[in-house]
Amino acid sequence: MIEPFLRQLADALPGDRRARRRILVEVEDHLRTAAAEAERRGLSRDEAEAEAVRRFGDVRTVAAGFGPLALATALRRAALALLAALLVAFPVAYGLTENLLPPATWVGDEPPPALRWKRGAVAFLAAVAAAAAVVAYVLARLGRVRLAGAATGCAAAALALGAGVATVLAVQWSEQVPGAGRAFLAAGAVTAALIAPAVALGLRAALEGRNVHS
Amino acid sequence: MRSEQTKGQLDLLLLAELAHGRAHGYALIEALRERSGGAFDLAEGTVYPALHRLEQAGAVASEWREVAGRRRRVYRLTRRGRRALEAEQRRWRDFARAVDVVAGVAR
Repeated sequence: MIEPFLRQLADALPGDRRARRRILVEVEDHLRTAAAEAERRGLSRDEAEAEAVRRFGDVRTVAAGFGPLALATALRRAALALLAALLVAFPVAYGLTENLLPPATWVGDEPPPALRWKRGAVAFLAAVAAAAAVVAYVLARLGRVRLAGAATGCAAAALALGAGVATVLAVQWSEQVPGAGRAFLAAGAVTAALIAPAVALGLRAALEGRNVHS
Repeated sequence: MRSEQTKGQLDLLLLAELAHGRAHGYALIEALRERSGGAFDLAEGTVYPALHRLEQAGAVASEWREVAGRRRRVYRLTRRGRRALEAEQRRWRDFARAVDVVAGVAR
């Protein structure tokens, strides 16, 4: 009785492998202790195991109890990864474009306003994404998973919008400065590679969230 | 007592039980059942998510112990948990007093 219950629980539990393993070891210890107690009271082994499993509760209900915890962990990791990625990616992208961009001859040594505001917007949106990631981390730590999920969504939206504006900026800049495309391509590739793990963790959190709310 | 009634007070009950000393999940459930004279007959599977949540919040800490060839997770109250317990006890006293007055139980 205990083995099949643990197998079903293993299939139903949310969270990463390490968290699931810990829960299963803990539940197995509980069930075997409870069954041993029941056997001492005079039940047969099968009856004792059946009673231990019955008293523990339905597999789906037990697994669902861990859903918010798995979601909080996933949101914390996603928020931390995004924050770390932004803190590294933004200076790296800025440094790469500064060093690799071919010199341009702008009137008054400054890019045209259409490019300047887009450059400012990218920096602003990166800051918004970083701030939202900090808020998401704190809320997930406090166990406020719905609000943490909303803050993570804001961070993801700011990141996506920032990436969109940065792409338009790169295209328009490259049209006006021959050879700038390669510099932007290099900066974009490095930034995308740095942010990709955070995006993967964010998708994982979204998946955990779907399990919790469905 | 119905398990929905105890569910709302699960944090208070678990923290209060851990204030007596370290314990693993099964021992906590048994101790609560015994100390309440059988009134707190918890749905056992609901205790572990609560313990893990309290651990994530820093109210309890846990470690593995080896018992009879099995790994067992043993929990203890942290300093933050002690403060949380005091807050929960205050909240419960106020709530119980208010219910007593409204229900006409208070003397």
